[in-house]
Amino acid sequence: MQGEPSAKDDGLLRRAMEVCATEPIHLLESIQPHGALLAIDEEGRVVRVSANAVALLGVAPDSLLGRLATDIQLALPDARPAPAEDVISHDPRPFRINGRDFRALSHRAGNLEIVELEPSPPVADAPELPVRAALKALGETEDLDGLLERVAVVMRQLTGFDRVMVYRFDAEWNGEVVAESVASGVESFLGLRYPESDIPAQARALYARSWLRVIEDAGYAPVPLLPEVEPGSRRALDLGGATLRSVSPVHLQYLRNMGVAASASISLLDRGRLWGLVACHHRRPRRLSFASRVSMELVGQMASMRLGLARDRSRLALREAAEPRVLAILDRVAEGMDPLEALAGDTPSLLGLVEATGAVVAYDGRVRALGRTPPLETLGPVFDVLRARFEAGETQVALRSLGAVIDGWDDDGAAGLLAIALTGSGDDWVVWLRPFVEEEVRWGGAPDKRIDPESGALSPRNSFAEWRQRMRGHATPFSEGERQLVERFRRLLVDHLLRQSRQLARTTRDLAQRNVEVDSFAYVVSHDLREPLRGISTYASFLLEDLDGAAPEVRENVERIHALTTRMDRQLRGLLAFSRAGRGPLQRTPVDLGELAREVCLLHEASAAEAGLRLVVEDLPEVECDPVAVQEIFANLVSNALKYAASGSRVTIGYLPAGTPAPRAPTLHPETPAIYVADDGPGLEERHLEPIFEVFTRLRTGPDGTGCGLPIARAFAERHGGSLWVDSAPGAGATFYFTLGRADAA
Amino acid sequence: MSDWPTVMLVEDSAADVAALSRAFRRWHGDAHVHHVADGEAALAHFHQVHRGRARPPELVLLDLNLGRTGGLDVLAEVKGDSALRRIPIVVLTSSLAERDIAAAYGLGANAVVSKPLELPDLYRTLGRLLDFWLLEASQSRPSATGAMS
Repeated sequence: MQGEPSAKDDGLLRRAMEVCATEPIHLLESIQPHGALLAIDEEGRVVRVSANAVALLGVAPDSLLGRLATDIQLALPDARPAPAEDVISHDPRPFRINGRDFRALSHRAGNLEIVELEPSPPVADAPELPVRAALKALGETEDLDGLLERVAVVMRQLTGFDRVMVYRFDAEWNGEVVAESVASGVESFLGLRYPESDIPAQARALYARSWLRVIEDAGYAPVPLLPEVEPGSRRALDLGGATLRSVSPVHLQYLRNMGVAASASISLLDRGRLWGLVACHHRRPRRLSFASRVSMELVGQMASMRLGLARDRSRLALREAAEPRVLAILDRVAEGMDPLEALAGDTPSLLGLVEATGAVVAYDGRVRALGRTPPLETLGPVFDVLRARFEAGETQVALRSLGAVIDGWDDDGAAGLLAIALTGSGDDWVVWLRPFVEEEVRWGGAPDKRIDPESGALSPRNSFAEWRQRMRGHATPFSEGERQLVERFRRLLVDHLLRQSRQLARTTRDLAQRNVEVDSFAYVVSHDLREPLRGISTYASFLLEDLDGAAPEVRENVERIHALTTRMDRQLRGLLAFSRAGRGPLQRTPVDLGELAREVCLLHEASAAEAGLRLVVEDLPEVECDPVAVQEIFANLVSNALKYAASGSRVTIGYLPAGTPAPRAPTLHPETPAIYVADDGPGLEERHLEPIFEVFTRLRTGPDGTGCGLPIARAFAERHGGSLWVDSAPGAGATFYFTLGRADAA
Repeated sequence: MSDWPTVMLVEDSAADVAALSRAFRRWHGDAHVHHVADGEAALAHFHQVHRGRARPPELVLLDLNLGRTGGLDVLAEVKGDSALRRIPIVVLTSSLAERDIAAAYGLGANAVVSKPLELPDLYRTLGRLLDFWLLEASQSRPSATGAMS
C-alpha cells in the first residue's frame, strides 16, 4: 500500500509502534540456530536448554534438563570463576562433546549462568587478523570525522562485510549515518537519518550493555528454549547478554527488506553512554569467527575511548576557528560602540560564529536582524519563551523546534534556535536561528516501522514521509561544541557589557554632577561676572557724562567700551536663559498657538515697524504645550527673522498639519504639526544651517542679539519632545520650523 | 534738613554706589542717603533702630550679593522683627536668578527691582522708586522715640 496512510492505518500504526517500542527483546525465549544454549542454576543444574541441542550436541534435551553440568561434561576444563553479570566475553573456551568441537561462551544473567556453544569448525579462527594495525590506524587520527571514517574502514577490513556504517545518535536518539565504508556496487547510506523509534529505548539499553550483536543469517528460524516459558514473562530467560539471542522479528523483516542477510553491530560508548553504533551489513549470510568478534569488540572499545578525545579536539578546533571572530566582535563592544550595533555589525558577523542561517540581536528594547530571519515583529512569542527560560535561571537556551513550544509557530527558516542572554533583564539576547532539517533521505529500506497491510504485523516499510512528518519543524540541533563556544562568547560579552555599563553609570553620575556645576556656573556667570561688568559699564557711563570738551575720538572709544559691556551683558543673560531652557519641568496645557503668536508679534510690532516689516500670523492650531516655553520659541524666532528679513517684506507665522512632509524635517512626516516662522531675507548657505543653532554663533556681527536665541528656541522645542530646524537657501529666505512632540509621549 | 527722609543704601559694589549716588543727585526730591557697605553693618544699624537708638530709614535699598551676610539675611532679620518689618525694603539686584527673586519676596521684600545697566535707565528707575516710596506711598513713620514707647 502506497501513499498517505488512512485513518485506520494510522490507528494500527500507532498500536504497532507501541508494541515495537515495548517489545521485551531480551526476553524473546529463542535463539539463533547456529549455536546451542544452556542455562545452569546455582546448584550446577541445567534448567533451560535450546531445542536445537539434539541436533547440534547430539544429545536429547531431556538428557540435559535437570542434570548437573558436571555430569554432562559441561564442566569447564579450567574452572575459572563465573564471569560477572552483563560482562560478555568473546574469549571462548574450546571443548569437545560427543566427539564434536565447540567453543563455549558463558556469562551470568541473574542467578543463572548462561553457556553458549558454537561449533568450532568449519569456520577457522585463523588467519591472524590485522587487529594491531587496525588499532594503530585509529590512534593516528585526532579529529572526530577522521576517527569515524577510519572506524568504518577498519571494521570492514576486519569483517569483510559489504557495508559498514557509523551511526550516531543525537540528543533525542534520532540517528544519522555519519561515516561509511562500502564494497563496490553496494548502495551508500551515508547521511541518512532515522527517527528515534528506529532503535527503541529497550534496544538501546541492550546496546549499552553489550559491545557486539551478530545475526549470521537474517533468514533464520528462531530456536525456542525448553522447557517453554511465556516470552516476556517473569520467568523468561534474560538473553540480553547472549550472542545467540534471537532478535525481534521486526528487525529481521527490516533487514530482509534492505536485502541484508547478515548483520553485526558494535556499540560506541562515550563515557558509558551510548553514543552510536557501528552497523555492518552483508548481502549473504556470513559467519564471524571468534577472533573476528574479539577484534570488532576491541575496535569498538578503542573507538569509544578515542571519541571523547576527538570530540574535545573538534571543540578546540571550532573554538580556534571562531576566536578571531569572537575577538573582533568583542573589540567593537569594548570600543564603546552601541552594543546593539557592535553585535549586529558585519565583518565579521555573529552569524559565522556557529552554523546558522539567521541571527537576531535584541538589546535595550531594540532589535536587529542578520541573515535570514522571520519578520522581527513576529518574534514576540520567541522572546516570551526566552524570558521565561531566563527567569527559570537559564542564560543559554537551545531549542530544536520552536513549533513545539510556541503555538502556531510555522517558520521553516527558523525552526530551531540557540540563544544567549546578554544582561540581567531577560530581554537582551543574541539568538541564532536554524532552518527546518530538509535533508532528502533516499532510503531503500525504511527508517520507520509500519503495519504490513498483508499480515497486519509490524514490518519495516519505506516510510520516509513519516520521518519527514516527525521531523517537520525541527532543526538540526546545535552541537555541544557550539553551545560551549557561545557560552564562552556570552561570558566574555557580559563581562564587556558590565564594564561598559559601569562606565556609563560613572559617566551619568559625572554628567549629573556637571549639570549641577553648569547650573551654578550659569549662576556665577549671570551674577558674579555681570557684577564687574556693570562696574565697567557704570564707569564708562560716568566718563561719557563727564567728558565735556574731550577729543571726539576719546569719546568714541569710551562709547565703544560702553557698547561692548552692553553686548557682553546681553550675551551673559542669553547664556543663562539657554542653560535654563534645557531644564526644569514643563507645564503642558492646551494652548491656542495663534493667540500666543499674536501676543509675541504685538511685543515686536515696534521693532518690526522700525525695520519696515510686516508680521503676519496665519491660522495656527491649538496644541498641548508649555505656553511660556513656546512663547519664548516664537519670540526668539520672530526677533531672529526681524533681524534678517529684507525691509519692506513680511515675516509669516503658519503651520503644516501633522503628517505633511516638511522640508529638511528630522523625520520625513512629523507626527505633530510643524509650526513655521518664515522670512524672505538673504537666506542661509547649506553649511550654516546647523551652526546657527550653536550658542554664540552669529553670522552677521551686530550690536544686538544674545547669540543664544536660536539655541534657546531649539532647546525648548526639544524639551517638548519635538525638534526645531531651518530650511533655507541663499536668496530664498529662511523658514524655521518647530514641532512640539506629543503630549502623551513627553 | 532733619525732615528729609532717609534712604538706607546697602550696597557693597563701589561702582553701583557711585552710580546710585549720581542717580540720587539727579532726583528732584530731597533725601538723606545712608550707605552701608555690607550686611553686618546693615544689621548693626537695624539693631540700633530696634532699640530706639537710631531713626528707622524711610526706605531701604538692599543689594542681595553682599558677601558673608547677604541681602537675604538682612531681609530675613528685618522682616522677622515686628518692630522693624514695616520699613519698606526694595531689593535691587543684578541677579536674574529666579530663586533669588522668589526668595526675596518670600522673605517679605516690598519690591524686587532689577538694576538697569545703563546709567540713564538707572536714573529713571531710581527716580521712580524714590517718587513712589518717599512721595506717593503713605508710610507709618514711627519716630525714634515712638519706637521706644
